[in-house]
Amino acid sequence: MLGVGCSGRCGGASGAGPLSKEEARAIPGAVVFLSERAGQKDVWQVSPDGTETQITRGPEDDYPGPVSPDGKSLLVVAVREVDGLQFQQLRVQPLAGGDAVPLHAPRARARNAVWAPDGSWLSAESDAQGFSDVVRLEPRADVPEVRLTQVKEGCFEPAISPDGQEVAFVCSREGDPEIYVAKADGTNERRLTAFHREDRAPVWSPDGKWIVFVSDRENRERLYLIRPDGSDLRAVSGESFSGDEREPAFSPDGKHLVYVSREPEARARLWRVPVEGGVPVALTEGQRRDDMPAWSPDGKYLAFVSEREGNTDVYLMRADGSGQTRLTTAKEPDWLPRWVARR
Amino acid sequence: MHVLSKTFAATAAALALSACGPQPQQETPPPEAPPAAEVPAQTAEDIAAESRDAARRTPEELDALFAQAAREFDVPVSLLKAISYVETRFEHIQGEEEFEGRPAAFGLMALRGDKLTDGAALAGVSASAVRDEPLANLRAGAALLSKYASEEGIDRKDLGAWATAVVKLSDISDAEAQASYIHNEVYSALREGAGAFTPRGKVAVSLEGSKVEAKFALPKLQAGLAALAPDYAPAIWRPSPNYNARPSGTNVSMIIIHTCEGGYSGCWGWLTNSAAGVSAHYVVNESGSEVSQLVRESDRAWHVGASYSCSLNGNVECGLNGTSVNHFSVGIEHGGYASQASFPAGQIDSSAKLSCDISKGQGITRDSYHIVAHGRLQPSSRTDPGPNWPWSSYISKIKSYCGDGGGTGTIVVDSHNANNDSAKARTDVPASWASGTSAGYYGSGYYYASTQPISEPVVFNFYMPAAGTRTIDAWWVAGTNRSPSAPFIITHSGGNSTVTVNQQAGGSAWNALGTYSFPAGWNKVQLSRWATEGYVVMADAIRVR
Repeated sequence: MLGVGCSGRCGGASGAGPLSKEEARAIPGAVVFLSERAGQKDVWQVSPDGTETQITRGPEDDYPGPVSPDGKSLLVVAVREVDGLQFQQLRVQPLAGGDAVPLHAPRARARNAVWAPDGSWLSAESDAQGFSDVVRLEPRADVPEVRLTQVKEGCFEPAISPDGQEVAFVCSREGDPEIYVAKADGTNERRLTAFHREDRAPVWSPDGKWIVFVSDRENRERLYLIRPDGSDLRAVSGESFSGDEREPAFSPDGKHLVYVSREPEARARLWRVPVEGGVPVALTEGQRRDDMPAWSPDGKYLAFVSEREGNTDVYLMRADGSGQTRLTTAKEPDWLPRWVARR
Repeated sequence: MHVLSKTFAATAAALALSACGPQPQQETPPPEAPPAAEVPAQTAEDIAAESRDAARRTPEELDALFAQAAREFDVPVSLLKAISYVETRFEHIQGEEEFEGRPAAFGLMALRGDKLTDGAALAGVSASAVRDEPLANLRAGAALLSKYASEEGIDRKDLGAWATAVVKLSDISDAEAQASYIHNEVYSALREGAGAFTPRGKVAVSLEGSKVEAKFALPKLQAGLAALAPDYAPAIWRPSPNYNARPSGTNVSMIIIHTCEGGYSGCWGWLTNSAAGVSAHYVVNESGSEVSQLVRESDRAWHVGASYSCSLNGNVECGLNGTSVNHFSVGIEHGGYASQASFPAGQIDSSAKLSCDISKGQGITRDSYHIVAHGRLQPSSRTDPGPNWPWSSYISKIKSYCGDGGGTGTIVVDSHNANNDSAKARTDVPASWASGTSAGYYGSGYYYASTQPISEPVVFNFYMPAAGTRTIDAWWVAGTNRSPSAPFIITHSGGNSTVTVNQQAGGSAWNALGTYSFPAGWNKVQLSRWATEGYVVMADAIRVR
């Protein structure tokens, strides 16, 4: 257990140094992120060579959600305050420019949106007809949302399977959050987990064979893998628990998971572990806060957020932890990176 | 002085433990373990963690800085330390705005707004230095105190007389809150003493207790019986005018966790001021020794600026104008800051008791979707209670106080001990049983064994702090190869009872085995493999309720 570490090459310790301009320019994609440089929160885009462009602007706060599967649009959560009251609105923002399409009128709860793999629909949390339901939306204006769940205690955090046929989500109907899976129309619901503590935040693996989720069943927050039929539960980090675990991200080929462990003194560290099992390897030093990992579409690089240089900025590194390179430069916080595939 | 000695003792324990390296987890406590209290007894590991947490708040040795600032401006050093302890627990905080109109507080002295800029001018440093640097912050606070002492003609040798200057340094205008702040917080710290260690175990700040009384009007509540709160009996009732009625028929479904971005008395003082235009139902102090109730739970407090309005939503679902967060929630403020490195264990404990009580009264689901951060619901402008609020242990404490799952009322014994609270549940599995994880198990999989005439049972043990009657349920994964007569042997006050169940049915749900009287201490339910051959028996989990 104490042997877990960087294996001699974390945090750019391999001597490779930051990525060269040539290598960065060759990375096929760009990163959208949230920046506070304009006072309010806006979505910006940065290419791996460091060129930054603003995507949304205006007095509202815009939080970047997931990028559409065709790479052409971004789901944005727009948040505004009116008379001290706060309203959230899901919008589809074309990345090539142009007006965002609001998916519903502003309301108090509209969040945790995910795209179906073919981009034809979305799922999100909504309070339009209850405390919190998992709903199905279309990426067009003025299409009524459809409730996939109707549970008084609330359902949360939808995740759509890679084949688009099922939705995993969390429900508290038994008094504590459990992971459920239902067909994409909300029928044939089945419960995956049973434990009197919290199971939450499900994410599907790209091959649909696993769901990763967070649980505090061992009195600490850990990531677990489970089959979509509820079998084969196991802890992602095996015997090598390092600190409360969160923010799992499957590599595009489904072979690896990168996640964050929360360490003392508000530090956070990125780890990578084979999905088939094995000892996690630290990707960053963990001397400051490193979190919010996002895989590049080709699976060779990771964008992440770090406070290592005082500011909160988006960084880039190879998927083995080498070549850690600062990507954004504004003094104000830049965070929530999401990759856009270059088409 | 007891605060100081307690702090030192806890830190010494932590250092001793950390010197030993990781502690092996004790899986089988001896049967003579002391009775479980309402919550699991604090382990040495908990105490060490608590002490480590506290040490993270004050990473540097600060005694010399306090002395330098006090000497320069002729202010009692003990007073500077007592104010810093009350305001920030000796942490150099980076505050945020929590209540509109009340500027954010900064540094060891929690200076805000004009106080921060005036103090900076008096100390001859920039405002950003006062925000960012501990010494500049202490000097600005000391300079202001000194100025107030001169204006009030205070005898600087008389520690009790400084109370009026201390009040002036705070932004508390309510007379009751001022009296509470002076007597119950600042002068209480002066009398009892306080201290902090750095993570390396060096003394960061030490304040020796001394006999002193503030020359200041006593709080009314201290004199007589405190006015008991209408909803939470242990709370002091300090009604705020800032509330209105909940819409009729509203289902109260959430508890919102806030930090005051300041100390306790200033917090409830602000929230009970009609000019503030904000409120919360409850405020919990830093040590957890006192809770104020300001608004009845049946009324709508003004603590979250986020709401639903059907006029902005095509006039649909106007009946749900009740989705305003304030409409359907109960708000709890906590003395302290979103940026602070850790929260005192007593405060978390006291808040968890309060949340349990609220959730029982209002029928609120006890999970992290219904007991949520202010910052989560208002992400555009709030971050409280911050990244270091201990959500996992907070929610589990609430559940434990309310007797959920692994709590006192109900005990779940899982077949995997990693999931069990070793103070009240453990499972002994013979090596010959195999582990399995086909879908539908409880916790982390199960153990199974073929049916044979062998006495090799799985033993589910549970601890009863007192004798009582309980119903036993069992959980298994059903299947066609399971035993149709799996024998559970329950040992109770009247002897052993064997209940055979058909494990081919009733899968992935609790199935009642029966209700029995149990003596105090460790009790057991065994699943035997001695049954008609040709099947398997499944040991997954039992529940005692």
